[in-house]
Amino acid sequence: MTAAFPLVPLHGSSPLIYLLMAAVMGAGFGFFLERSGFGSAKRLTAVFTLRDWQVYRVMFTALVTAMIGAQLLAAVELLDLGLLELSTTYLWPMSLGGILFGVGFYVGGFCPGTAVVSVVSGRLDGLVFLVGIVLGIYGFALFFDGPGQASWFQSFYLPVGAAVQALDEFAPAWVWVIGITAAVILSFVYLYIFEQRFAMLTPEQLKDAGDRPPAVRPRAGRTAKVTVALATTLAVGIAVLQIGNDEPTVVAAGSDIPAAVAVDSESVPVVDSLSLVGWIVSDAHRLAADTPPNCHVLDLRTEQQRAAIPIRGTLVLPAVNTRSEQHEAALAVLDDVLTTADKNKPLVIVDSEDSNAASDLVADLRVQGLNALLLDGGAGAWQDNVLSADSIWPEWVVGTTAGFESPTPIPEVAVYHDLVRSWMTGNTDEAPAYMSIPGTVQLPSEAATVVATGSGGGGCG
Amino acid sequence: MTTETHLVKHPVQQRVVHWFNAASFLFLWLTGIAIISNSGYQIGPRFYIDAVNALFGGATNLLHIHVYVGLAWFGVLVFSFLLDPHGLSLRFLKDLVPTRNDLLWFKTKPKAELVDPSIALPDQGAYNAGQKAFGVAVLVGSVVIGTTGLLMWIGTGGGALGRSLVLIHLITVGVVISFFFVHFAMAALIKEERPALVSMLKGEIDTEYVEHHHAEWYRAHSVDGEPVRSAERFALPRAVFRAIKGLVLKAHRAKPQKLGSPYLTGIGLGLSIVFGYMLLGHGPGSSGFFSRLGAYSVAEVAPDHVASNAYWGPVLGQGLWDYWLTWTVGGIALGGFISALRAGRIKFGIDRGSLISRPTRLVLALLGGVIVGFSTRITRGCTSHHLSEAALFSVGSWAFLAAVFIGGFGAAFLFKKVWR
Repeated sequence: MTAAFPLVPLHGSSPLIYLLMAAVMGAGFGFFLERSGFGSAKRLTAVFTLRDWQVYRVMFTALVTAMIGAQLLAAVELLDLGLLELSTTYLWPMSLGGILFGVGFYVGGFCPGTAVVSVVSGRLDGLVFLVGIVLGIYGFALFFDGPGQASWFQSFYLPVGAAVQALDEFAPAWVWVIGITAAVILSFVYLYIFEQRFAMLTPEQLKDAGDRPPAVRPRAGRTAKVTVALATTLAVGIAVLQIGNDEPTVVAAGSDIPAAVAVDSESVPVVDSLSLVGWIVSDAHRLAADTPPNCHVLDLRTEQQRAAIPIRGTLVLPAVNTRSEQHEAALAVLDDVLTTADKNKPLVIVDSEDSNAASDLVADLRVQGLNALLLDGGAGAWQDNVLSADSIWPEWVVGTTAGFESPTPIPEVAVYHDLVRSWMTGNTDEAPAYMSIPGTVQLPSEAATVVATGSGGGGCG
Repeated sequence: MTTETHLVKHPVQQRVVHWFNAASFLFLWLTGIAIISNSGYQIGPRFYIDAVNALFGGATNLLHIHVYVGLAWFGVLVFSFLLDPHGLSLRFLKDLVPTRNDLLWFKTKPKAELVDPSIALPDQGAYNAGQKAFGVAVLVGSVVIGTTGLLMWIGTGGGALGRSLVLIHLITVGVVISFFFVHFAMAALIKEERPALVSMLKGEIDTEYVEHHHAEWYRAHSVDGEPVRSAERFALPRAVFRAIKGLVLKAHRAKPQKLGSPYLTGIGLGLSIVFGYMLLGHGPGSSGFFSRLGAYSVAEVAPDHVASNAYWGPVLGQGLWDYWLTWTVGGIALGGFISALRAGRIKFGIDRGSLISRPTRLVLALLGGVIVGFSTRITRGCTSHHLSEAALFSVGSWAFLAAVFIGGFGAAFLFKKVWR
């Protein structure tokens, strides 16, 4: 099963719909910022003078909610976290810049989003702050173009070398979900106790700090308890689901000769790149003899990607923008090419890597009764196993070809590999000799026989 | 032309819009049927589809004509309605508001029609209840048809969304057209309704007919009918403006509501971020908008200066209005405004600490803005952006959040006076 979300990266959208969704997201965000009282600079900065922790509470409740929400949706396989945008971590710029940001936050009273809310709440200081932001960014642009071009700033602003990007590189996500949730809740509890004492000592000070009189505090306490209970349940639930997910997929260990067609973890049949070479090579001989090919290969990649990692004799798609367009284009191409006789022949789908788009397409085509397969590992694996001079091909490649004579003599394996590589990259047009294909071997003549072994699925070539 | 026995019912502007609407809608309906040749949806007979396609020179031409006439139809209606240059939209909307008598009409009309013609019907306004129902259906239907058509024209990237738009478009047209047939039959075929048809042609209506069929309206307009008064021009936009102004002033004077629980509003913020994850693939932000706003604003004055700048130059070509952050910041403003309005928290003024004057506060706000603006470029985003990425375990965003509190606490320690 593949995730249904995030909608836009998976399925594409027209610009207008995308912008409207961005506006709706902003409206929700702005609404709750205002609900939290963040239109007022006085209340926002009260957290820095330790008078009112509203900002801290709201911020970290939001963070925990978003974190649990994302992980929960991922755990039930609704959301593909890998497709969410995550900007690069630049540790020093973000930390030191963040300190500067904090100073500006205290002095000016806002951060950019809350200043917008304060403007629509009628505050002049919010508007002046926004003018300041634009001026400050202008200042940065001027600085960046002048003194900022110096190497000391550039190496600080855009450090070379990868920093650690994500916390879950240190420990599994569920550890962080539970850890962060627990830490945040614990801090809320401490704050609550602290404020209760504070309230008993000097109620005047407390009244000065916020709009909420002490009388409503117990109610806030109840909400806190409910939140604690809810968040804990969710976090534990996610942890259970995550632990279940983390179990390693059992990979069947076979002999050194792979079965041409195997089934990958997504239950889509796959073919390994070496077998695909054999199929394509023998189809080249068939085409040269004016015989219909025994398999079809559909390449989903773009023109540049195809040029970078060539695969000979594939069907290609016109340039598309979104996944649904790609899907429709693929069906159109196949509709044009496949005759009734071709319906049972293997149809190999190639993408740059094992993408959801490709395995979805394979599943979809199989539902329609076609013998669709996925190239295991995509063009990346093809590059490593076929085109790369470093890859060592096994001996069985030039082994016996189940009783038929190859039109050209079969050389030793290293030479054969070189022949295939130079043919695939277009350096020569003379197709190399037949290759022995594990699992299935099909003869080039009309009297072709299929020797099928292993896990279902036909071979070709 | 007004005589003692006639009243002005439909001013000329209303009649023009009525017939323009009728003609465009019929044309769009007839061409629309011919566009749908997909076997699953096909409505018209094959020979009709072929004939219309041939008439307009092929399917592509036909679609273009349908789209451009549709855009003209929707554009003219929306602009004339919203701008309300003759003060008719507001009146039309008021005439469509259902009353108690309308309910009664729906109860007694079938009886009067089928059982006993002598049963007295309740007094009606400018439109009777049946006409009101038709009016509402056409109004809502036109908005739906026009909006879905507009979205299809802009393009939605195919898929489920595109298909459901087509379906909504078709179903709404079906509903409106079936209402239209009733409307047409009443006006063209039923003799008693003839004065109504004439009034839509000539604008005037027979006094006796009005007295009987639209008694409430007659009582209100028995002297001079209802010519458009110049004072009513642009009535709808003015009414909307007055209503918003009234709400804002009311919120300004109101006692602000107590703040919600920080935990509940925090959950609300978090869910807004999750909404972004699910649909857009990222959470909200805002500082990027101000960078682009600045670049485009300064470029208005000095285009070469901005274009040659190493930081702002590349920003210029990327567009301001089709930038998602522009819309998100617009959304933040709208959402904040709605909340502030509801909670009575719109307060015109300046928030400041008790030890500093208003001018000092404004200078500090500007200074703080400059510092924040400058630093957002180094940190690659502001609090909202880093909040939504910290929830996805970005190390840099956690560093940012921690640093903001460190900087804020430090500044508060050094400059206590600012917010005392």
